[in-house]
Amino acid sequence: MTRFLLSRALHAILVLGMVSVTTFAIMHLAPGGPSVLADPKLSAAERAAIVEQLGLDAPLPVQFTRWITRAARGDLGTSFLYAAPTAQAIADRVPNTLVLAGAALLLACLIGVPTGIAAGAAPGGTLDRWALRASVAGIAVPVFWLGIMLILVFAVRLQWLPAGGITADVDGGGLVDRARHLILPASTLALASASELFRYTRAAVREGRDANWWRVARARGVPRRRLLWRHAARHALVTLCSVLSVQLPRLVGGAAITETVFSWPGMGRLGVEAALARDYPLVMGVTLVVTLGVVLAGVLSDLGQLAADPRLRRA
Amino acid sequence: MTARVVPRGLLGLVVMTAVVTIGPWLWPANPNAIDLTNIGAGLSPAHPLGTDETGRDVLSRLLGGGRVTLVVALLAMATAVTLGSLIGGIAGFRGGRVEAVLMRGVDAALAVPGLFIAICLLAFAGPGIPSVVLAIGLTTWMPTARVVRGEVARVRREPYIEAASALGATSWRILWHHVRPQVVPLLLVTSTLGVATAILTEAALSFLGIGIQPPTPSWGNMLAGAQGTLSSYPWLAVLPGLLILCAVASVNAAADALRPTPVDSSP
Repeated sequence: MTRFLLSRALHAILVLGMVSVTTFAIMHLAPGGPSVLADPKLSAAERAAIVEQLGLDAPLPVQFTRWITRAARGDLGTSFLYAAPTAQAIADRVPNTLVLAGAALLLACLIGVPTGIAAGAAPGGTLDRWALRASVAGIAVPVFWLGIMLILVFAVRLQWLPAGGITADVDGGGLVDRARHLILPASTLALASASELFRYTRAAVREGRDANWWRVARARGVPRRRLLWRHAARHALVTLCSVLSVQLPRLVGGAAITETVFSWPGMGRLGVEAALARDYPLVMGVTLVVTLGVVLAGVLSDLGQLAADPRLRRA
Repeated sequence: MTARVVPRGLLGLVVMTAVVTIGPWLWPANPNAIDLTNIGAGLSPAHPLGTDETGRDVLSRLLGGGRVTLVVALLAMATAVTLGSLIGGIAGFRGGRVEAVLMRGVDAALAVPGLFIAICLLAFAGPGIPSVVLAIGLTTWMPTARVVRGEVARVRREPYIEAASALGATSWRILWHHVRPQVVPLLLVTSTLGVATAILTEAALSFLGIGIQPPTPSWGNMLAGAQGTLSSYPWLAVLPGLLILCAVASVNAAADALRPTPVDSSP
């Protein structure tokens, strides 16, 4: 176990290092430079002063070393766009994204997994056929279009739910208000994940029906219901753990779009804004935080697989 | 699902490609002709699907946009598949340290949301079709690399590869003549899925305003344009989105049909 965690930690550091070097290189080598310098009213002297103040005049390797030594101490620099510490700007947004992505993931599991189990239990049945069709559409639908359509129907036409933001109030708002604001963006983000989880669960359950343990359990008289929701569900859990860890980066990308459609002040939108404005410290900071999250989720998913399948523990 | 002679997904894709290809002959209206006296018009013989927020003919924009979207998606997929097979192929064939380094690179690339990197990459060549193709291709090659690596690593251990190398065949000859044919079926599936990813990514980038730039129509930027006038002309947002959905769904269905294993056992 210790060896496993150690090797994963090493792997994580390697991934983080590669991601920072590549992102840094792409950001800084791209022509154009940060948008703060694009103001045509700036004189050459003022521009030079800003460049010097931001430390952009040093050679790239020097800049990178400077950035990474500070980052290792938890200092992510100052955002050009917000003129505030990057770490603070990110920390303000992270909870919002966690709430949105968490709600979406929960929703996706609650919809995708039970439907998958029920559909896998009766292949070719009515539920199976309709759920399969729905999942084909769910995977193919562009996230932002789904968001726009949901706003059109539920916010503009029916006026049941708010069209955007996280609260109606400037200073907080109650739990109910927050939940109402969460429903549309979370559903938008959840649909693709739910469809994918459904397909994997369905496949795992169908695969289970052909396995020897299924026949043995049936022969021993395990009730069908228990067989499905205990035995087959657990069999599916191993696959689901790895599917979830693969889905996470896409969920963050989808969150960036969803947050833009619903004016949700989250980290994904912050990353897109930062990348559009070429706010180097902010892009690096967001990328680093997201990558860290993804890597951690990978470790959690591995541990989840070990917990779900004792056979893996021996290997 | 029973096997069909012509899978429905492939059929949908062929029909869609054919329609957008002969689009200008089917409906020769200029997709970029602005008619400010005729904004957001409904269905009429002159404009079978109405006009958009600047009075352009929606039908001809959908046809032209489809062409741009499909061409971008195909080229982006080709870029991604070339890069992915190269990296995956080398990793799988060489094995050892080369494989470890390359596959950690794939892990790293998979851990970053591709959208951020695509945005940064788009700054390189500025907006335009080639840079969009490149940005999508350079951020979606990882699944191909994984699939190819797995296949190549499996095939490499086959006795006939050993035989070929014992007979003195060079690595390139073995890769091209003995390994490649084995990898192609699965590669076909990932490439097809890559087209779906590319269509969705193009739409997302265009939606953020950094993909295909107007006035060139693409289904993605038609949606972005429609979002600005959502309260006055909501129907403009419906059709491009539906077409993206249909295109991606038929591409995915085609990939399912191409899969070497039966559709039923694969997710």
